[in-house]
Amino acid sequence: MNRLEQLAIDLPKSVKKNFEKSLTEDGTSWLDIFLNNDQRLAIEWNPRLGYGLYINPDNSFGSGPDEVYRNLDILDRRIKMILDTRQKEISIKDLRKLSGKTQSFISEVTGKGQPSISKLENQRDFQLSTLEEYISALGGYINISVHFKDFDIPIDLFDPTDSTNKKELEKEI
Amino acid sequence: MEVSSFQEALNHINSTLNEVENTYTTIPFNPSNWMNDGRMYPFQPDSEVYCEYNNVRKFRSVSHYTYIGINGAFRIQEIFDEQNIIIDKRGKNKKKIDEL
Repeated sequence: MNRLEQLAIDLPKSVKKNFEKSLTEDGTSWLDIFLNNDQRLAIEWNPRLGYGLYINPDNSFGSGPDEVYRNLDILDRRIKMILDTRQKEISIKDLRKLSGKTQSFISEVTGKGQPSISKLENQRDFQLSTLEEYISALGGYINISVHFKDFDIPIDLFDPTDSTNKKELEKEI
Repeated sequence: MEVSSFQEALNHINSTLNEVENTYTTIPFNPSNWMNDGRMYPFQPDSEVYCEYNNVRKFRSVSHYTYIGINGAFRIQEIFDEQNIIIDKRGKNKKKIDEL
């Protein structure tokens, strides 16, 4: 049994799902989870590449996943989050929960009081530097790309040489 | 264009998708970056799943199955709406996928 099949088995019995196994040991297997009659999530798993989560799979032909996971426990949390709330969008508070970190942890790393962290998590508008600090405390880094009719391009708002997380994560991935 | 073998059909499908992407996106072709670069790529050989037809191989992408027969016939259809067949092309001996 592969790891995605195990994830399918561990889902609540009430959740409608479809598991499709690769023909080869190192190939890509799929798990479809039906949220209701016309909405589903699709997860692909490849032992070499990790897990890809498609949030709106029916609009996709050949494009990559909306979210990428290299850790099954975090993907499992994300799936349960969507099943519990039926919300596909993710807030920074959800990101923290996915990362398994507490507000106290963020408070300790950033030196900001826990009430400030709580307030920040409920805001919809904040400075980029504040967001960067929060994501950095979670162990991540931010990439921003802009999209136009004729081109897509990443923009450099943060000094990449400042980001220890980026260097470390790029080494690991 | 008529194709007459599995490999020719595979090449035809892949080159068509790559040409479409080259025309409509500025994202460079870099298959190793397929998970997060936003470009569409042909299905990979390791996406093969069990096929219900003889002499046919079946590949899965997120929402579609691509069937390719040994005679070069190919069919692309939606996974959860089997009636929605995007393309169903005959192969060398004029047979379609479900006639093999």
